Amino acid sequence: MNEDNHQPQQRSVILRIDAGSFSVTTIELAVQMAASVHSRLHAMFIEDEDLLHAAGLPCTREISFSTARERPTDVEQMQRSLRSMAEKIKKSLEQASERSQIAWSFDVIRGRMRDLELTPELDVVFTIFDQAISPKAPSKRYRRTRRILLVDNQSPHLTHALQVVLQNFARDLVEVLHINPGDQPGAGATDDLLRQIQQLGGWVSVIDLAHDQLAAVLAESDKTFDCAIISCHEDTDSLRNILKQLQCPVILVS
Amino acid sequence: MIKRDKRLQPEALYHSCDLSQFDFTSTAEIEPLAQPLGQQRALEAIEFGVDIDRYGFNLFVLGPSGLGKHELVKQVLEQRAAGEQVGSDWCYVNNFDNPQKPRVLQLPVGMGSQLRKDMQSLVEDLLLSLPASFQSEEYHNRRQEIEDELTERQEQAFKKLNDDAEGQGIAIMRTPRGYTLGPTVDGKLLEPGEYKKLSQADRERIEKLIDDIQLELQAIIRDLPLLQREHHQRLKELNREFTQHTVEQLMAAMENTYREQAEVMTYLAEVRNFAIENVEAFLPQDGQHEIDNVSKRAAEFHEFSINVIVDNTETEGAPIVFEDNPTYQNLIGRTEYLAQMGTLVTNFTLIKSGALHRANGGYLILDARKVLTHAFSWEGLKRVLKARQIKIQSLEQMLSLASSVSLEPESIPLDVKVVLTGEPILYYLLKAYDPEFSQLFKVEADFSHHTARSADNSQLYARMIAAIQQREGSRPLDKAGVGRVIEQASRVADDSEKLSLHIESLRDLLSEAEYWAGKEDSAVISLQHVNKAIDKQLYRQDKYRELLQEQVVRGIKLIDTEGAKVAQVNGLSVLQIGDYMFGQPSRITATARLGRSGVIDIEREAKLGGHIHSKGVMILSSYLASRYAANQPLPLSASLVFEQSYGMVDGDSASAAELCVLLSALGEIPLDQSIAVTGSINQLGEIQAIGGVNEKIEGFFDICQMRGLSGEQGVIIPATNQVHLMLREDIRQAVVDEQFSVYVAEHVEDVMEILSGQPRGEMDADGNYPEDSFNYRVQQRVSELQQLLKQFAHSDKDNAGTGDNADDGDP
Repeated sequence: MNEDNHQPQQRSVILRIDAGSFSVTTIELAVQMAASVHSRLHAMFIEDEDLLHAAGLPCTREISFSTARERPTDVEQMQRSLRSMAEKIKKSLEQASERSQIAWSFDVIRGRMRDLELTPELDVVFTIFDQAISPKAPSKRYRRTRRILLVDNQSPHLTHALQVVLQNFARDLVEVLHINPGDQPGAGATDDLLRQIQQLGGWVSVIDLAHDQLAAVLAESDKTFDCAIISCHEDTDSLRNILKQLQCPVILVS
Repeated sequence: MIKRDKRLQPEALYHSCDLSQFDFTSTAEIEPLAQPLGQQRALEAIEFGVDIDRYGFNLFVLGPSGLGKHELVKQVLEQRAAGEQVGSDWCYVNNFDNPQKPRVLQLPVGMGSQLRKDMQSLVEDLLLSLPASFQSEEYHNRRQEIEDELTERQEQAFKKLNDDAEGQGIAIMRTPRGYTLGPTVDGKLLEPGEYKKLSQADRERIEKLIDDIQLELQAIIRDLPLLQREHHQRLKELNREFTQHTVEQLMAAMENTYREQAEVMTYLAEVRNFAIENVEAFLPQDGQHEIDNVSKRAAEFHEFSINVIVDNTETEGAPIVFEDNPTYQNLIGRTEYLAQMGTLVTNFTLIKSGALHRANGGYLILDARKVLTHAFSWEGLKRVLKARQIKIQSLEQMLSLASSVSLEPESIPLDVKVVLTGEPILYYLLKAYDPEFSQLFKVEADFSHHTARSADNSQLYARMIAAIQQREGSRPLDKAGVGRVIEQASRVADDSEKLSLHIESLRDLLSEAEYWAGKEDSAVISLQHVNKAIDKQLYRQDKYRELLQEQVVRGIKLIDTEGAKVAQVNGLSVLQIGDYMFGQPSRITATARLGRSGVIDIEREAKLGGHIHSKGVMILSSYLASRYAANQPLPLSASLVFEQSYGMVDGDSASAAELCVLLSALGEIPLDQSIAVTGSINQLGEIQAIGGVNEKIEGFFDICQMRGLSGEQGVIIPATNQVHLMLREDIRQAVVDEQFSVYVAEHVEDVMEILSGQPRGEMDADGNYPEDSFNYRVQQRVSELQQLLKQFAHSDKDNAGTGDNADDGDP
């Protein structure tokens, strides 16, 4: 399906990517999410202003992730690098969308990921933040344990999001850390779904926690997640804190 | 009177088979002959060659094709091989250390295919069991622990550095290609303008901080591969632990089965190690459930395949292999290739055995001509026999033409007896020109063409006929039929006292006689069927004979069959087209005059005469000179020619006729044109035997018969050829009716007497012959020439002063 920028009334899924987080796996996840709710996908590449500012400083240099070598950098070099990355993301998006037959669009905007508005517009179903340094692709040979952080706050599309994520981890063992909306478990939108899945087989385990335990969970250094699904009813500070703490794809659900 | 003395009686023209010697009515009543007739020498040689167990004692069985060499060799080998041990099974297996050099396993019979099946089962078991082992709860937990630890260590390192940097006012940010560092104030990155406003001391402090953090960051990044390696190593150890347990469990039964086979045990140990080291290959691909796909995937594990190149499971006794198409690759074996993505690839499973592999431990029969005519087969065979091991090498490798990497399969020790069959010429050429041949083929088994036509052999011949008929399931031959077949065997042998041992001709004759008997619904093959078979064979072949005879009868080719003429005689020659021979008369003429050139062979001068023919002419020249000019020079210029001959003339069978025609020309003696002559002469004038005597007589007879037999016509043959006579029935009848004659001559003067009708005469004390003898006329003419020569000599002397002496060889 071709790039389509002219369907403002249609429901959409937003994917936000910046230079520190691009991964094909997250793009594919975003495409699946869009397909699952029959929405168009709008991807935004954030050309990070801080990187451009830093590149203009005389004391700044770039350290290669692969070789640890120091390279001099400047604003132009950084811009070229960011544009190249944007092209790469666009290409990946095009290929993934083609396979799933969804409408999509792609924009490059300059700014800072942390400064972007977190409250979604009315037509946005999911906002996906690609925060993974190197998300683990599903293994064809070994089962892994996948951990999902599910902050359930009664969003209507949480079930959709969870279904798509579970589908992605179908060959693995899955541990869902289910943060309930109130102090008591069993009040969340996904409770029914989780119960059903648990009854089908033993590959998903659910740990129910009260919302006030969320901060402690995020602070635990040994807790790494493969994906986080957050209800947009979460307050903005909490959301920002979650985004800051996690290094995995985060799905903000309307 | 002269002619009558030399005329053969009808019974001398044919050696009839004495049917009273047979006490059977048909071959159904006699015991088929088990051993070949007349091949005792060859049989003993084959038995010796097969029995002797020494290097180089391979056999060359020689004889023209059709003598039954192959059958006899096979018969002897089968008898011997039946009591010998079956050879081994041979397999090529993967060399896990160096796949380019596949290893070979020698196994007891039947174990090769068993091992192949066991290895197939093992791979399928591994494909089922290993994934199950890796899906276990225990494995999963332990692997997760290792992975979590790695992730934690990586993230902690980054997090700590990030926190430290943040605390010191430095931000670490991801770029598309790595990390960058920048100073912050209140969590916000300083912009270039703000940075410029900082004091020198602050800038230096910041740069120092960035340097320090950069060093730490670089250290973390550099440590990442080490962490990864450690992680990989720990996973590998974990995998090894689980794999080893499963593999050892699965292989225990196999190792027990093959514990007596040291080579197999070594191989299985390598298999075990390889499986443990390469466990990932056995784990699911593409997310499929392997249980449904296991057979298909098992086929991909060629490393564990067993390529059984020799499987003797079905063989009884030592193997006997006859390779009908002995190309280099069919003998030595080959490595095949598969086209994959535009390139040719190979592995040990594509090694194919050659005839030598299959015959190893037994016998290999090869046709020498085919071995010699297929490129490099002979060289390859010798190389293998000398090395006593089979090394599969492509021609490109052997000739150093290939630079690409290919397989070098381990050599296989060779213990084989090779039997080459071929024509004698091949044997003698190899013996003369290939020194290695004598080292490698020390036993010569020479097949006889003929055997004596004794009473005993006639009985055996009848039994041989019975054996052929039994083998081919044809109807029996009655007594008269057997007699006719035996007579035909003498005719094929061209000798009334011999029997041809050409089994193929005999088999063909019997098959055709069987056909004609079948046409008549006869229960047995009888004389008339054999005769019909012989006649029809001839009829099918004799188109060219008919054409040539027609030319003579129509007067296109000039042959006189009546009257008498000076300097003209009918010689006889044999033409061969394929394996069909027939005789035809040729007019030979001569001229004689005074001169010094001697006898000129025009065929030779025109380069149409062969060496033997020239030799014959030289012999007759010598006879002429010594007989008629012993004490004086022979001043003669004579020439001889085969009229209307446009091809090569060779052989000396016309030399008697040539001498007679020369004497006729010299003495102006008319020669009888109703008689043809064949026979070679020596310097003493004795007539010597020639070949094809039957065909020659028949050739002249046919012409005479077509023109009408006069009763005067006949053929003179050497007396020594009398034993070869096996003439056709119509000629024998013509002789009985005195319509045709066959004369024998021992000396050229016998021939001259018959042809000229004049006696030779006895030389008196003065050296003169009686006036009515042909010798007198020749002697007189020679004297005249000598006188003329003297006159010319005087004349030359007289003319010497004038310089008028143009000598071109003649006076």
